[in-house]
Amino acid sequence: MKKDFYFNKYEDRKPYPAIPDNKYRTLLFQFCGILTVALGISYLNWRWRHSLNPDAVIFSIFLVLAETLSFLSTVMIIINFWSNKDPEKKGPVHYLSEIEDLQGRPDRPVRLDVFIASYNEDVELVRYSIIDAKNLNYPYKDVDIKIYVLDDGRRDGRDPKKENMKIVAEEEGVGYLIREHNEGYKAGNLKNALEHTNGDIFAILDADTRPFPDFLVNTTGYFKNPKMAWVQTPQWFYDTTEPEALSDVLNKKLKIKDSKNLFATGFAAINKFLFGKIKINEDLFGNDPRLFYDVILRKRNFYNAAFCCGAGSIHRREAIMSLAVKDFAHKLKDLKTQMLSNKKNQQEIAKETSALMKKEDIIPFKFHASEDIYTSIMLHADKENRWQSVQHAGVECRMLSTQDLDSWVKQHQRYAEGSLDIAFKDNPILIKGLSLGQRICYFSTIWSYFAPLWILIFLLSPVVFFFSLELPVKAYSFEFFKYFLPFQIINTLTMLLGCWGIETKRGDQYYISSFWFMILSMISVIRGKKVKFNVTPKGKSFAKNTPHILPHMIIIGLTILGIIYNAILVYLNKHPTPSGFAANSFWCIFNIISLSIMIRAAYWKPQEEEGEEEVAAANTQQVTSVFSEPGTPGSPIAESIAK
Amino acid sequence: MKNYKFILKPLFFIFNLLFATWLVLRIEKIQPSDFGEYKSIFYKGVMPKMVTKADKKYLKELCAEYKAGKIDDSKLEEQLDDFLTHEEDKVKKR
Repeated sequence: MKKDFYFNKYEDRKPYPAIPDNKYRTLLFQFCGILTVALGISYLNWRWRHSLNPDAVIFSIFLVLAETLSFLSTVMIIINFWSNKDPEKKGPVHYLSEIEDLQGRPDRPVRLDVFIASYNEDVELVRYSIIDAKNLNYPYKDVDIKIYVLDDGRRDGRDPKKENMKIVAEEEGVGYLIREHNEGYKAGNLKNALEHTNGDIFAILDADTRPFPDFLVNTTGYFKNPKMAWVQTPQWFYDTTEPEALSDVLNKKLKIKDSKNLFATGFAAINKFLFGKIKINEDLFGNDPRLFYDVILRKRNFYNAAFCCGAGSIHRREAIMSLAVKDFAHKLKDLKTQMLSNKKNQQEIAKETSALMKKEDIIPFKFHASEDIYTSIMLHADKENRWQSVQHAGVECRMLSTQDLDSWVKQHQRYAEGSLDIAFKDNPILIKGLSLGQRICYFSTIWSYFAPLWILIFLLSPVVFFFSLELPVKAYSFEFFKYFLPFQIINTLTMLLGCWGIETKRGDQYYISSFWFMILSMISVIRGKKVKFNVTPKGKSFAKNTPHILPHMIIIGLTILGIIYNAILVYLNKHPTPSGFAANSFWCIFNIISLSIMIRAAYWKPQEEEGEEEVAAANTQQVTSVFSEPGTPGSPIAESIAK
Repeated sequence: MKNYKFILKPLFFIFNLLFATWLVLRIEKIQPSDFGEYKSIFYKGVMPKMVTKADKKYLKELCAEYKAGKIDDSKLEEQLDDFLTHEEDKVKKR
């Protein structure tokens, strides 16, 4: 008997269709993209050379520097979006010879494994994923599809306080794999699975990832290309918050929803008449990753730079293992070279090498906070094999999203820390073997996590102006707008074309709103702190949300105070630059709307009909996405924010 | 015709680059007067005249002549007075 969860009511939700490719739209995008770059260079040239305010040089330089960094991001996005190249779809694989050169070995039907990585999620939640995995279609009966639960929580009955995952796996008739430690976290868990299984192709699912029946049918065909290392499918979160009528939200806040008081009833009716049709709170946490998967990652197919994001991906065992073996061989070679330079004799070298071989492991997925993107970079950089990857266009599985801000921030903070860690330790710009397009795409992902550097300046600039009355430009004059407006208008048009068919409002808001936790992540990585894998607390605590939004509240407060102060000065005819006040006030409206999204998310509560028990269940599942998918790089937010 | 289809895309990008260059240069030349009379919503009364590029050029030339010793103090002052008091006629005269 399936247990009821909060997400059961979303079972009927249908995934979004992939955006159809259109070559004329692509051409128009390219046309506008070139105009954006030209106008951007012209604007920044004017900004640097002619617009700096000599009375506020440092302030001016900070702002123009922020604009330049942001422009760099825009250029990388244009390169990323440049073209689309969805690979040709092929039918599902039947025999091994279809996916690799057998070199004289006997042919046989291909073997497929499905791994469901789990840690401490509700076992009944995992059961949903198992059942859906068991329902996977495949046209060839002789193809062996094996399903394994990779339980890193060791819930095999040894600890009576824990639920028994092993029993669930046995009840459902699927494999159950555990290990005695958690080394390497998810990457370690997968390594253990690969050591105990023999599938030629394996799919990675998280505990909450539920594949649609044709998941394998639609994806294994890509492996007929012998260089295809992995296929990533979009992660579709089917439990994002539904839109609510503004009148309902207001009535709920004012506690007049079910009041029998005549005044309250009248007020509620007026409220409904005025605001009943305005919908808010749709996907309040900005969890919809469509922009990321359907545009950003999919367009990287053009450069063979689509990277793996963990759940919902399918891999060629040979590719991942060849990388691991190569890494191991490199370690041995390095050791040998080092010992030879230390003039050690052959006997000592042999002894040390043997010791290393015993000590070191062959590690398929990099043991790193962002193991997915890290492993992807290494596979793409493999000059001998030239592995390829694909971002599949259609949604093939569904997942659960974070339902409270604290979990959301912790999850995205890990993504940020993992990606930044790669930037500082193994920057893709410097790694040998990557093509220029791949370098730019990977760097674009990492660069998006540096965004708070310029976002903070954009947020604070109006505040500095309001209280110092010094402009960061000589004047908001005709000269300023003649350079700024054409660039801004064409840039907006370019992004509109690039993201055609996708709602980007939430992404834009979170682009600004995410600045604080990203700054914290940056500081943490710069200080050399190891990325932690703390499991998200299960209880839903709104008190914990406050630290995440305190900086937002301070900035909004200062902005409003500044606007009031300047408005008084204008009223008294004592403002030195009223045009500056007008321009900054307009700028602030955008800032406040963007910052407020996170404040709204912090104080959002699920609808009252959802009981406490369900909320707890909802939070339990978050552990899945936080723990077992720690390294999902280029999270939808971070990437879409780069836009 | 099909044999020459491969040229279309490079031609498109060449046109694109030329258009982008023209647009950038055109924007640089735009003057407020291109849009007619300028009225500020913040300043009441008569707006100070905007200094045009032609004005700047004239003043620069004046300074250069003065530096080179082609005109003396009194001539410079006279010219500047003339410029400031009869701005509109000045441009036409030049």
